[in-house]
Amino acid sequence: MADDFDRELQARLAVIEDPDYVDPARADLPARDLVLLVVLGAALIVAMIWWSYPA
Amino acid sequence: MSEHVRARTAAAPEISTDAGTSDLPTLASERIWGFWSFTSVNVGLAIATWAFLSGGTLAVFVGAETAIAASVIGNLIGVVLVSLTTCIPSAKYGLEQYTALRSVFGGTGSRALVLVLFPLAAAGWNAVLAIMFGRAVVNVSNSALGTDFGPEGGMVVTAALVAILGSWLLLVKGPVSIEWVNKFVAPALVVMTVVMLGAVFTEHS
Repeated sequence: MADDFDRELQARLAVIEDPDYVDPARADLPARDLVLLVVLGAALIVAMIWWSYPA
Repeated sequence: MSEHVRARTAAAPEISTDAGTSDLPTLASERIWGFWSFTSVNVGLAIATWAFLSGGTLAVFVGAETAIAASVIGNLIGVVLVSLTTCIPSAKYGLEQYTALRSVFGGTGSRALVLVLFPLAAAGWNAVLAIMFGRAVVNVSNSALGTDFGPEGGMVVTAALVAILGSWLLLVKGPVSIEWVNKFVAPALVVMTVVMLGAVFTEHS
């Protein structure tokens, strides 16, 4: 059982570590997306505070 | 198994196990969820029943507008950080999250964590959710149908057990049924949330 699992794991690792293995999901998040997340998140937070909390 | 995977495992043993139901890393050709499936499942999870209840409780103390702002801001910061730490390893490397935890806590540490988390967080929290569902059913029934069920009576327990059974039936088929259900549940929850917000601000504020 453990040997089967280990054999399966090693087979999968061999696939994943193959230089020719193509998987778009393994690309890093684009810096533009992270910057957009921070900027839009901050803008939303400021807008919500302005809208909801009385001065 | 696709030709894509077979072609890339010529030097390795044959790949045969379904990684979707084990803690083996999932290969690209084995993924069954795409962008919209993943998004609909996350929307279905995010707009959860307990969120309505906790938001409603918060609004009792600070008012509707402040409660909405506090919920949005708190979840925006907290959920983004948690999502980045858990979703990226799972999406990039096909790792189930408890397997990925071994890189932080080790094998024994992860087992200890699971032993604590499953009885308390999973079983306990699901029991709380089921009771919430039962009480919600009773409240709706009492308001809409004029019944007189108590908040701790047999109808609450019955509805809670039905909720647990229904959840089990949905989850027993794994990611396939979760994806299918959330294709309908996620948009319905979004519409319901917008309608409820509209009702709160136009009829009760």
